[in-house]
Amino acid sequence: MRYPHRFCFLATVFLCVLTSLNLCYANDLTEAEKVEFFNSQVKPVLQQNCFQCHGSGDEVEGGLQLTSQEKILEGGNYGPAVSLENPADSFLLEMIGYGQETAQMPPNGRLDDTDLEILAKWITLGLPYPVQDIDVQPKSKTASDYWAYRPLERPQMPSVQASDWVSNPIDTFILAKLEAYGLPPAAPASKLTLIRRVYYDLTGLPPSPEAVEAFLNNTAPDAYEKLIDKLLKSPRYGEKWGRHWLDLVRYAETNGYESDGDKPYVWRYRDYVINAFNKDKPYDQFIKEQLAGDELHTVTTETIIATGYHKLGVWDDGPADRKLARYDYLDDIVSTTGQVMLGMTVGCARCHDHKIDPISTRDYYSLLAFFHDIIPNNRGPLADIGTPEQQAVRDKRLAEKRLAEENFQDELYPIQETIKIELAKIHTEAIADDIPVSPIRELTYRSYRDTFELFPNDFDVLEPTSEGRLFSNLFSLAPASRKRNIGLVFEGILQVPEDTTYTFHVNLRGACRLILDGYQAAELIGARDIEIALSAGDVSIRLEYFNKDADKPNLEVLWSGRDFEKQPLSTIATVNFDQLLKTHAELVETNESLKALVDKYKEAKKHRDDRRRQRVPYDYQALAVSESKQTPIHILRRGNPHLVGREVKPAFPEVLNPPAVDILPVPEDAKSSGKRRVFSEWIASAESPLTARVMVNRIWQYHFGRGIVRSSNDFGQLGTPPTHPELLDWLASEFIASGWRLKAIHKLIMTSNTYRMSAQNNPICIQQDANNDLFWRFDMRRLTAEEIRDTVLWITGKLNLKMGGPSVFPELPEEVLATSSRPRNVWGKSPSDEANRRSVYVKVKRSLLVPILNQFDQANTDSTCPVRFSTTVPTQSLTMLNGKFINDQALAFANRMRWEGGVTAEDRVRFGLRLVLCREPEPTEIQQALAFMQELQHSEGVTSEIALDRFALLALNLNEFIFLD
Amino acid sequence: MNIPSKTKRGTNSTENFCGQTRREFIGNIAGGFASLALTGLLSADGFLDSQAVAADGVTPYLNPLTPKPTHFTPKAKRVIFLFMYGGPSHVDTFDYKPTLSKLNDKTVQVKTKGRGGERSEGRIVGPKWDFKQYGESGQWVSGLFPHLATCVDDIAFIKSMTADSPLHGSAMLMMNAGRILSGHPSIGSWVNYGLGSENENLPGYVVMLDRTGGPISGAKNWSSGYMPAVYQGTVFRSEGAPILNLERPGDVSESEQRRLLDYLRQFNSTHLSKRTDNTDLAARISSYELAYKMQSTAPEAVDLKSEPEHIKALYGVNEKETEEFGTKCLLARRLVERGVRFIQLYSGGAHNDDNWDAHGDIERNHNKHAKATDKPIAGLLKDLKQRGLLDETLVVWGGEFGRQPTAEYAKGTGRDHNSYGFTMWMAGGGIKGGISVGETDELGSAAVTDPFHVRHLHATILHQLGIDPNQLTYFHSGLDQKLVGVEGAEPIWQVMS
Repeated sequence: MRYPHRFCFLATVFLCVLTSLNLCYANDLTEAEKVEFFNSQVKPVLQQNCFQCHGSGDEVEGGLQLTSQEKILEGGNYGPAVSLENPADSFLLEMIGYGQETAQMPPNGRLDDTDLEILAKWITLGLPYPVQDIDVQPKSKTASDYWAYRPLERPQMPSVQASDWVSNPIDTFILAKLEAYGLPPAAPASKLTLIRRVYYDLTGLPPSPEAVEAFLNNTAPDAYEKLIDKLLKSPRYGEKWGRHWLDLVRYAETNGYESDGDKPYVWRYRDYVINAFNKDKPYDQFIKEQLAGDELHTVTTETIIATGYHKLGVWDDGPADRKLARYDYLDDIVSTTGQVMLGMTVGCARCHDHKIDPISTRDYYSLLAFFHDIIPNNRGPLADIGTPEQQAVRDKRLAEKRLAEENFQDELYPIQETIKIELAKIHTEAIADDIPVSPIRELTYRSYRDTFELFPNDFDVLEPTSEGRLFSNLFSLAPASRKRNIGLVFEGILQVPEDTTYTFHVNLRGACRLILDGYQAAELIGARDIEIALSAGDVSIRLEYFNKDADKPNLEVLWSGRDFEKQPLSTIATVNFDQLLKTHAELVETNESLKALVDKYKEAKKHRDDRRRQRVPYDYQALAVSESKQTPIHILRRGNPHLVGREVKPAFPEVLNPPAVDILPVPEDAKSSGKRRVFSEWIASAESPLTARVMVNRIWQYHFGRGIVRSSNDFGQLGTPPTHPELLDWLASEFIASGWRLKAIHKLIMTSNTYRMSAQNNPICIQQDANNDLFWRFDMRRLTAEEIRDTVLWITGKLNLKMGGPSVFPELPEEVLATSSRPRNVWGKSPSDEANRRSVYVKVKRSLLVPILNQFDQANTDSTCPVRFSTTVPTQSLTMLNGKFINDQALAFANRMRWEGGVTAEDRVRFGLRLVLCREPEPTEIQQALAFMQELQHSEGVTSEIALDRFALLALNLNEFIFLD
Repeated sequence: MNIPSKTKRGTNSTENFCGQTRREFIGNIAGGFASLALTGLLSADGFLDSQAVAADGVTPYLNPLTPKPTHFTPKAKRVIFLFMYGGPSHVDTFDYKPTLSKLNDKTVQVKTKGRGGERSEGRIVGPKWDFKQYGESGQWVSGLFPHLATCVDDIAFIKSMTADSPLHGSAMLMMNAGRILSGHPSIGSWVNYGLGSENENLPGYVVMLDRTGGPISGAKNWSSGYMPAVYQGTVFRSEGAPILNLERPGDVSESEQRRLLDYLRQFNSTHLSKRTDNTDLAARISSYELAYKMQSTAPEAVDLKSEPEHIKALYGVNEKETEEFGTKCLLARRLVERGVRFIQLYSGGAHNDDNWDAHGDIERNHNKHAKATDKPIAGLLKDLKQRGLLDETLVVWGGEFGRQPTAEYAKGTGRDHNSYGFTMWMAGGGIKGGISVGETDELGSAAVTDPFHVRHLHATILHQLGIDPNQLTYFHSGLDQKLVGVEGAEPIWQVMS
C-alpha cells in the first residue's frame, strides 16, 4: 500500500482501526482496559508531543487544552477538537494527519504511524480519560533518587574474608563483590608486566631496558611506589593524560567545513592542558579556568588561555542559516560541557524534553543561557597575553613600520601631484572631471608630521616632511600621510573678482589659521564664517591646519561674495591615481619627462606597499573566549531558532537540586557577563553530585580500559549502571578530600592489588563473567594510535621530546594530500626532527587525518570522545608493513641495532627485541629471529644487512609490541 | 506498507539498547569490536556463528564488516553514487523549462539563494543546449548528454530535490551524511554498518576522486563520523596502487614479505599461546593474512588488462576527454562484481571550474564536465545491464545542489547555487525506469510538486538495499542517531518498480 497523500493514509488507518475496533476492541474492552490503554499508550504520546503547548495553565496554544476529556470536547479557538458522534470528522485527526498544509500538528513533524494509530483508536474508544487533572509534567521529580543525582556520601566499607589481599580500600570494594560471586582475584602481575603497564599508563611510552633492569633488581618494598612517584613527576605524564582530556573536549586545530581554516594559537590551549596535568592542577580549578578563566577572581595569562575551551569545536564560516549556526555552536558547548563535566546528555533536550532522563528543554535553554553571550569561534578578537615589555617591543615595531610607511607616502604624494599637473599641460581635456574649478592658483602645500602638542606658532621654522604643488588648487587633507599629529600649510594666490566683503565659511575638525594678504584673518576651530574685505586682483592666501588627536580630521572651506553663492576652496575628492595612469598610459609613453616621473612614482609606491605589507610578528596571542551582550534567551521550540518560545534565565538542571542562580550585575564596561563564573563555581564544587563521580570514573577508565560506569559520558539512564557504585562514590569522596588532585587518585588506584592483577585467564571466571564486570583480572589492551607512533619513534631513537609550541607536520603521502580540494597547500612541512615529536604535538586538521593515527582509532574531533574504539582491520597491517613511515623507522631501528647492539647478529637481535618487548628475549626467540634472517639470505639472496632491516620491520609488527598485558 | 515493521516505539525502549542490538551497544561503549571481554555476549547474540574463517584457515577472524541480515528482501545489493561535485545545472541538463528560453536575458522577479546571498530578482539565462525527448518514455534530456539520452528508459528522474544549504561545504556534508553539521557518518558508512561487506579482501566502501583533487572538506565527505574508522570510505586510485600502502616498498619482493609474515605469525602464535582467550590477538594475526591477500586482489580488481577493447570503448577509456571518468566507471563495475557495497565516484574536484561549479561560463564549464562523463556513465549503465548487474546495482547521479535559472553576474551565463530545487536520477536496483517524479516551477527555481529532501533520497537508497531507513540507528551522545535524521523520512515510493 502506498500513500501519496498522508491524510488518505490516516483516513485509511482510521478506517482500519475503526473496523478492527468495532470487531475486536470497542465492545470487548472493559473500563479498566481502557484506563490501561490510556495510561500505557495514549498518555506517553500526549506527553511527548502535545502537552508542551496544550497542557494546563494560561499559556496554552490556540486555547486548546488536552488535559481532560471535557477540555478536549470543549476545544480551543477552532472549536471542538474531537467529535464523539462522528469520530472520523474530528478536527484533531485532521491536524495530526497533516491533511492540510496550514493545519498540521505537531508542527515539527508528523507523528509516526504507530502514534497516529494509538490516537485514532483512543478517539474511537470514546476518548477515555481516566484522570481529571493529569500531571502534565512529563518527568517525575522522584528522579532525584537516581543514583547519579543523589548527593555524594562516603560509603561504608564492606567486609571481606581474604583481607590479606587488600592493599587499600579499593581492593575491599572489589574483593567484596568477587567473594559474593565466589570468584578469586587473578594472581599478581609479574614485575616485568607491571613496569610496562605503568609506563604506558602514565607516560604513553615504554620503559627503557635500563629502567626495566633497575626495577627488577630493586628489591626494596617501596620500589613499586617509588616508580609510580617518579613517573607521575615525568613531563611525559602530562602529554599522556592531557591527550585524554583533549579527546573529551574534541580538540582540533582547524574549524572544519569548506575552508577548514586554522584556529590561531589554539596550541596554547593544548599546552595549557598538558601543563595542568603535569602540575597536578586541582580538577575543580582546572574546569573553572576553562569555563570562566576570564571571569575568575584571579585572572592570569594561563586562565585566559584555558578559555580556549570554548573555541575548540567545528565552525562553519559560511553557514546556510546564520541564526541556526549560532545555536549549533552554543549547543556544541552545552552538549560537550554536559557530557564531559557532568556525564549528562543534555544535548538531547534541545528539541524536546529528554526521552529518558529528567532533563527538560527548559533545563537545556537555561544551561545555554550561561553561555549565550559568547562570540562564536574565530569571530572574537585574539587575547593579547604579552607582558608589558613584549607589548612595548611590538608597539615600537609597529610605530617604526608606520613611520617608514608614512615616509614613503610623503615621498609619493608630491610626485603624484606633479604628474597630474604635467599631464594636464599636455592633455587637452580635463584629466579628472570631478574636481571643481578653483579661484586659487599656484597652490602649494607643506606637510608636517610631528608629535605636536600645540598648534605651532611658526610653521616656517619647522622642517616639512613633504611639499609640493596641489593639482586641484584646493585645500585638501590628502597630502597628509596620517591622521593625527599633523600640520599642513597651504599657500597660493586667490583671484579676487572685485573690491568688496567676502565671507569665508570654514568648518573643520582640528584647528586652522587663515591668513589673507599677509594678515591673519582668524584662528579657529569648529565651524565659523569670517567676513573680510578684499581688493580686486591677486591676493595671497595661506591656510595653516593642525590636528592633534581627532580620529577623523576634516577641512572644509568655502567662500561667498556679493555676486556669488558659496564656492568651494577645498576638496575631499580623491582621484584614483593608478586608474588615471592607466587611462593615460599612451600619453605618458610619448613624453620622456612624464615617463621618468611615472617611473619614480612607481618605485616609491612599491617601497610604500612593501612596507605596508610587512607584518610585525607578535606571537603573544591566544584564542580565548570573548563575549558580547545578547538579548535574553528563549526556549526554541523544537530547537528551531525561528520559533521563539518563553524567556529563560540561567539555571542548572532541576534534577540536580541545584542552588538558585544569582547573577550579579556587572559594570557597564565589563567585558563579560559573569554568568560562566557562576556556572563554573557550582559545577566545580562538591555540591554538584556528578562532577567528582564523572571524573574519577574517567581516571579509572583510563587505567583499566573501562569505567566503573562504562558509558563514561552518560551517567543517565541510557548509559550503563556502575558495576561498583560504592567504589565509585568512595573514589569520588577521596578525590574531593584530596583537593581534587588527580595524582593522588592515580597513586591510590595503582597501588591497589586490583590494578596489580595479571591479565591471565581463569577458565572458571571467564565462564561466569566473560565481561569482567567484577574485575577478577586486569584487561589487556592494544596501544593507542599515539602510543604506537610514539613508541616506534622511541625505539628507533628518533623521538624528539621537545614540549609545547605550534603543532608539527609529519610527512604525508601524496595520495593522502590528493584527497584535499587544495592538495598543494593543505599540509605544512616540518624539518624531520620536528616531525618526529610526540603525536600530541601533531597538527590536528579536521579535513585531513594522519593515516597511521586515523587507522589506529584516534579520537574523532567533531564531538566529544569518551572512549576510543579499538578496531582490527587489514588496512592497519598494510600501513605497518608497507607504509613509508614504518619502513623509514625500520631502517633507523636496524641502524640503531648495528651501532648500539654489538657486532654479532645475535647481539643485535637481542638488543632490538629488548627495546621492543621491554624484557630479556628468550633464547628461542633469538634463534627464531636469526633463522628468519638466515632464511632471507639463503632463499632470497639478500645481504645480512638487509636481512637485519627486515627483522627490524618484523619486530615492529609483533603483537607483543602492540598489546599490553 | 512496504516497510514491514512499524514497531518503532518498541525498539526505542531501554531494554533493547535504543534500537541497537546488544552487540552494537556493548561494542560501542566498551570501545572495541572484538574485545575479549565481550565474547560471551557476542556468542549469545549469534555473532560468532556468522564470522568468517580467516585467510590462513586456522585463526578465527572477527570482521566488523561481516555481512549482516537486511530488514527485508533487498532490491539492490550495492550502490554506485556518481557525485557531480559542484552542482550541475538542472535546467541545462534534465529539467526542461521552455519558459526560460523565452525569457532569456529578461530580468524577472524570482527568489534565489546562493553563495551571493538572497535575491528577489535576476536576469534569466535560457538553457544553452537544446532539449529533446528520448526513449519510449519520452524523457527530456539536453544536448549535453547524447549517450545518456539512450538510457533514459532505465532511469527515474527526481526533479524536485531540495537540500538545506546552498553552500558547498555544508551542502556536500548534507548530500553525503544527511546533515549540514559536521561529524556525522556518511551514507556509505551507514550502509557498511548496516549490511557489512560481501568481500573481505576489498574495502566495503570505496571512493574515487578526481585528478584535480578532492572535494571541499576532503575526507569529511566519506568520514564515518562518530562510528569507528572501520566504516569510513577507502580512497581508491585508478592509477598506481589503488589503496594507500597497498604496494610493497620497492626493494621488498613478494616472497620476502611472505617469509616475514610467516615468521611474524610464529612469534605472534607463541605470544597468543599464553593468552588464548584474547580474540583481538587472533584477529590481528589474521588481519595480516588478509592484508597480504589484498595486495593481490585489489590490484587485480583495478587491472583493466583483461577488459576487451570494445568494453573499454563503451566507457570511453580510449578517448582523451573521457579516459579519466571512463576508467573510474569501468573500475566501479569491476568492484561491483567483486562485492564492494558502496562506491562513490567524483566527477570534478578542487575548486571553481575544475568541477561543475559554473559561476562564470555555464557553457564552457558544463560542456567540459558533461563531455567527460556522458559516455562513461552511459557505458556503465549499458554494461551493467548487459551483464544482468543493473537489477541489483543502484546507480545514483547528482550533485550537492542545482543551479539558479538566473545569471550570477551582470554579464555572462554563470549560474549561482540553488538548493530550492534540482534534479537527481537513479537507475537499476529496483528503480522504475523511464519516469520523472516531482517538478520545479516554470523557471526551475524551486521544487513545487512533490518536493523531496535529501533525506528522502537517502531513505530510498537504504530501502532499496533492504534496510528500513527509520530502523537503522546508531547510539551516540544519548540519541538513536539515524542517517535520515531523528524525525525519520519516507523513501520516494514513486520511483520504485
